[in-house]
Amino acid sequence: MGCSLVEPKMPMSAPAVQTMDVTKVYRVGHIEYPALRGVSLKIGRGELVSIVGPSGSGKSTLLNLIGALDPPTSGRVFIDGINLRKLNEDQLALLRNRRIGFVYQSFNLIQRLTAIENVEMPLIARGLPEMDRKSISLKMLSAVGLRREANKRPTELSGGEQQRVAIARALVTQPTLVLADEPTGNVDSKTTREVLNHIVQVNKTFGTTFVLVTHNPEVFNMTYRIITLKDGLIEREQYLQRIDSYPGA
Amino acid sequence: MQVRVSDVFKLAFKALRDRKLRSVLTILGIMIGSAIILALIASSSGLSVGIEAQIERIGANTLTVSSARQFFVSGGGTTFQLSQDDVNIIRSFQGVSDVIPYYSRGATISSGGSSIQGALMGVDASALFKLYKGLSLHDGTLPDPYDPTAAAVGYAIAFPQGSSSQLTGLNQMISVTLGSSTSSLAFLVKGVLSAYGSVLFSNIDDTIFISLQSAQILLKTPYFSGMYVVTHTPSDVAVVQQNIESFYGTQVRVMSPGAMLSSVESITSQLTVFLGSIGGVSLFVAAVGITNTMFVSVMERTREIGILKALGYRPKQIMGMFLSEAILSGAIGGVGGTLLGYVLSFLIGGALPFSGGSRGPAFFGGGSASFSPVFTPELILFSLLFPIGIAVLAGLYPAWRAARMNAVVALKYE
Repeated sequence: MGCSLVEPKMPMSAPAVQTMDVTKVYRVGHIEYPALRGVSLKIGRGELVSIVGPSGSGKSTLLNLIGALDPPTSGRVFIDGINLRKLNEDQLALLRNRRIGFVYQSFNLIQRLTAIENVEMPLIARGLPEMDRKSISLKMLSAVGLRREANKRPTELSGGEQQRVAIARALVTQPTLVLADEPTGNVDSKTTREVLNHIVQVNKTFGTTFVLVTHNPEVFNMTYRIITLKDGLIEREQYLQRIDSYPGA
Repeated sequence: MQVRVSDVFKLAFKALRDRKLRSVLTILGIMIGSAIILALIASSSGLSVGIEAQIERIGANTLTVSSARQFFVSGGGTTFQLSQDDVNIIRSFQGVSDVIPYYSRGATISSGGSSIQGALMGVDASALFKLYKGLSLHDGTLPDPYDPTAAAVGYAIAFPQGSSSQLTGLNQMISVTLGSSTSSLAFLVKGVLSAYGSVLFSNIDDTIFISLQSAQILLKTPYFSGMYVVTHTPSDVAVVQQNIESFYGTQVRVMSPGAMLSSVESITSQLTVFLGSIGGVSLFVAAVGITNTMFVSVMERTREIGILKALGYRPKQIMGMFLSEAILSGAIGGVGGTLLGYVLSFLIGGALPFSGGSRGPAFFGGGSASFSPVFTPELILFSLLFPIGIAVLAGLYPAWRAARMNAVVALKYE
């Protein structure tokens, strides 16, 4: 196993995320659909960044490339200075497990498992003993205010509660990078604020890098930087706060 | 980074439990398949063991000679029959130590109003114990060769199975009706033999024995039903058999325990293969069921597979998770099938023609001969593990499909 490839050794100055002229072309039959047409960006450690843009602008595609779920058609993606192209399937999986947390609009919880079992899933992949898993997961659920709901199934939870479970699952491995695709798309405005407060708090406390894909102004207005995509290219980048205020800077 | 096997099986169990009915039906298919295999193999090997034990009782140095006519009861005319001359001729062959001629007829044996189906056998009383090793007198004495009314009866005639009352006892009259004849013969019971069971397909316990001389007079024929030829050593058997066959040609039928054993073995081993393959087919059907169930499951859980990939499960781990569901189904089916097969084999054993109550003359006449299924540790182990192997094979392709799914596509799956 290529633990050594993923584990440290990277230069401390390396950005959390870096893409270099990344393109992604989807092929359906003989027709090609370019989703990304050359995106280069750098996201520093501890940044809280939002990616916005109209539907079909390539936001989710970019997030999948950064999340090591999909390889780019051309160009390079680096996570903590690691060139993803050089990793094989197993090493990519390991990288996702160790360094990246995902949060989705539709929560993506496993319905037959309880809240705590869902949170445990990434730790099971690590082979952590059950006792340790349970206590870490319960702490995580407590942090998102769902300690009492630990043994409920997703169907017994509200949308907001489900999203908090998903956030607990994304954070339980203490990732350096959290990627969220419309994390507030399916929750009410009160829950949106709760979710955002939690994200900001984790970002400030642990220096976790967050990349949020969103349509919601309430969400992107509280990030430090807004990257606007259009037709597979970066149209605009706006800094909402001074760079030196980044927790990781 | 290695997922714990116990975790994988816990998750697999939860996944199976989540689709209860489907899992139960799949497991049922495996159970039936493995139960059939176990039951059929156990009972057919039980059958062969039982038959072999019967044959072996006669001893490896004994041949049976009968006229070829014996198997065609209605035949007659000029067909060859065995007489005292033949006894003398065969006795003169090299390697032969003794020739014991006998009369044998199917008979209805009655006493005091109740009756059972059995056989009448006329044979030199002193030869009886020489032939049937381990047979002894339960009570009384062997019939006097020159007393035409004296008889010794098999244990089951004196003490019929399933009946608490004694059918007959020492010095009681017993009436014997031969075959389809309407008149009957009467004998005085002088001895009761110990319980012995079947040998060469005729049941000693259901047989009434009279002396050779009495049988000759009562049956009004000088021709014997057959004879036992005892050789000095088991290695003489083949030569003696060859000599008798070349002397008499096709007029007689010579059977040696060894030849019978090998023919029974070949029949029962073919039977085992045949019955086993019936079970195999049903397990194959079950395997197709597993594959089908797993494909449906993989498709339904496409999104879950995407989630697992995002959470950092490696392709092999995902494959292992799905395979373990198949293994679990196979294991549960194997255990259930083994238990079911165990019960089933006794039901089959009871239904086999050889162990039933039918009693005919000469061939397969063994009444109370029972064949219990044989379970070797290997067979049990096979019955437990084979379904798991089948389940793994059946689940391999669906699990592989799950493992190589594209994460992004899987996550978008509705």
